[in-house]
Amino acid sequence: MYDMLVVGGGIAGLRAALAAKAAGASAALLAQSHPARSYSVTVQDGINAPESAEGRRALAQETAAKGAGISPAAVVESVCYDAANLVVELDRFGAPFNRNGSVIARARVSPDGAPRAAYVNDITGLALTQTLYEQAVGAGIPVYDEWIAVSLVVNDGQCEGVVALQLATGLVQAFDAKAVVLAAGGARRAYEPSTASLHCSGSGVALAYRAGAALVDMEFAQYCPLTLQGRRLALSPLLLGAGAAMENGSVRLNGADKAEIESRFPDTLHRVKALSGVDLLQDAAPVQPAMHRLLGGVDVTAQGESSIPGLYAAGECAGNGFHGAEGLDGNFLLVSVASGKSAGAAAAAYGNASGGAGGGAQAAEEREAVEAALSRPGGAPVAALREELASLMHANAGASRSAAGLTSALQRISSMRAERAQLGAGSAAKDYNFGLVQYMELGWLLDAAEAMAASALKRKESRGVHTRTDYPKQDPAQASRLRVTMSADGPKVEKHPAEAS
Amino acid sequence: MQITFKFQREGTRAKPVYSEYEMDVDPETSVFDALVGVRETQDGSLAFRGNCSVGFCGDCTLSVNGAQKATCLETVGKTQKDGVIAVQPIRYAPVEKDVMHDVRKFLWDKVNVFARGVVPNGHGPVADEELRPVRKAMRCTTCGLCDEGCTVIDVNLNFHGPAALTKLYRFAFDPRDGVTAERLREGSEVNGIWDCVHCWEATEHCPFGLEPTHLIMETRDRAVAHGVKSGYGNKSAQRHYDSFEQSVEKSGWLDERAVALASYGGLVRGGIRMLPAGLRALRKGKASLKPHHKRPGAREIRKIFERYHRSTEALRKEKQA
Repeated sequence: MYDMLVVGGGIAGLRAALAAKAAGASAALLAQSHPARSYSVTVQDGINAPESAEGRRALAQETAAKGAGISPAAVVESVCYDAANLVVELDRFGAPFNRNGSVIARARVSPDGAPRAAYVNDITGLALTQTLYEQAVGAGIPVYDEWIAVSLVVNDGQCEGVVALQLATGLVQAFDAKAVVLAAGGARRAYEPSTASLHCSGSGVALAYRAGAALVDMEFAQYCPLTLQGRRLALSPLLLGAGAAMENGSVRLNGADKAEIESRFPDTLHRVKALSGVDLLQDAAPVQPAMHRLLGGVDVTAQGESSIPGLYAAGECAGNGFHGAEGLDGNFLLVSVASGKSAGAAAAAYGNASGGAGGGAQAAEEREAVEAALSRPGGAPVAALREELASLMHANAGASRSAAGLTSALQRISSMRAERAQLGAGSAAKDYNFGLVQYMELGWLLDAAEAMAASALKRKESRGVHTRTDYPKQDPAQASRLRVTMSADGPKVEKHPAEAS
Repeated sequence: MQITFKFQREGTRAKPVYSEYEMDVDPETSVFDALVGVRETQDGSLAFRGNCSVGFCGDCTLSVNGAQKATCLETVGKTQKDGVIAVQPIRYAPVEKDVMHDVRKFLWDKVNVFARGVVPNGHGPVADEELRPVRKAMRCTTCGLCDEGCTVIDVNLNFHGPAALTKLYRFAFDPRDGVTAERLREGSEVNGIWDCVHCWEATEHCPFGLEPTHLIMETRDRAVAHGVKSGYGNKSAQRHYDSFEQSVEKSGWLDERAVALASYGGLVRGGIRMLPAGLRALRKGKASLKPHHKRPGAREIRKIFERYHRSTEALRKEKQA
């Protein structure tokens, strides 16, 4: 029994575990891949952290404006006002932020923006993940890596842990915890093209959705215009701030100072060369828009509390509303760190003293479900469904949407669910059964996709990254947020006030 | 293009037994994506790791057609030979299943020895240049290709290896850390920095040009600067370094026989230990019975040592005062 258990080993999850540990709670972390292998390591973006109070106010205003009027003011302000402190704290943990002299440097994430993003060259994500992992090792936080959470344990309306499967052995067991923080990342594999890591499978939102928690802002799927053509690498907006430009579907350095690019972006140059064969110092790299960030997620307060007591969420799977209808470059890492820290602290303080039945009975049920899946056919038909879902979502719930497209997508998602129910792992192997993982991931992706498409259908206007061809204008009367819950009759979408300033 | 993917699922590295899968794949596809495609559509029980597919997570390291690679950064077209891509496990760790190796015990446990986070030392503001070594080390994706090349791990699986020692370097050069000397002492124990044989294979193998062998050498300098003597906690390494130093001081160059004997604990113990190898070396003409002699210029070399002794002695007195 832990005071709190984090599901997900990226930046938000590690930050949550450290915050809980610092608050005196016993914290453990469970993740599908080793924390240092999580998606977070690929993030080359900076982290917005203006030095002056004036700069932080401006950041809050721009964040709210970009969010198109539906970001809760309390969340935007608390995150933006704390940004510089969060960065100093990361630096004290050991993150080697670039400096001007001996002051943490700030760079632009767009050609005309204010220089306010702290950064570690072009490896901010990798450096922050390593730093937080090092602190977790120092704090003695147990890490259950290559364990996959398969369901949340909710007894009498309280979250009391998770049931998880060990990839290496197929073992299914309950992890009892007084509070759970979901920090399992986004649902990018529901789209193609996307910037997804293999494990960006929507498990965080799907586990909460299935357990009865509300999701929110699920209609906002932000594409990254700087994704390397045919690859899943999102180039850093810091490049644009350093003088690179996007023109005719390519990124080129133009007037950028090449010596500066070489010293600040060595890993970008290396990856672009390896993945596209382009020497960015000499030539333009072809890019395309690809699904990058799910802006919504598990409906949580500024402290990360979901609608289920004891269940918290942080990072990309959390919908605290910070981004509103569109996220600002440099804000993604910021909210991961901020939401991880606050959810971890809140979960530690929650201390559900009631005890409860624990997850033993539920683990037995999940074990049976896994056994059954091991004996059903799988593999190619599961992969075909996942691929079909990804092109279906890109076409109908991507950068532009319509009632007709979304309705047909929802119907197909529903029938795909029925088709998936006949499928399974495709082999009975207990150890490292990736067919089983693929089958489970498809289930999560279908749930996430359903919530996304249903929310997008309900929002009959265009706002932020949500563009409806049949409702091309923003409608002031719809400046509210959409909450979606799972019900026997399908997804139930309801409006609730945005509490924007 | 039609590719035959061969996965070693049984047998040994030298005599692999492959399972074969055919797949039509765009030559521009990365090897990792293609392997995932095979697993997703043909055999879900096929075990190998990998996540980000863009060269950052370091998880997809495998041997493909005999070369060890971060497979997501290689294309099918350039990797295939006669339409075949043969996948084998890497060597630095025992296999768990198929081509999946035990990274937990042989990579993460080793890294974790040195991964304990920065303990702030109350140092004031730090200049950008001082953090450059830390940023360099943090470019490491822990892909393990340096360990794969390591010639010490080849004979001693317990050697921490260049990947873990890169983590030590990261802390050894962090001016904000308050327990650097302690870390360097830990790193100087058996299987640490002094067990590296500087063969430079790690530097050759690093796909990101981080030069892990150089990092180990710099960490040694750091250890010495922190008062950790070469071979700390490792008697045989200590004897080896001491006798090496003595040999050069005395004769201007290396007396291989004397160093070998001393490393193993002197004439008697070393003699017994080295006898078979010594006899074999004699037979093959790799060793001679001629006495070791001074090289030309040995006197000048000796003077260098004298200067060194004088300066360390002065330093010691200064510290005492």
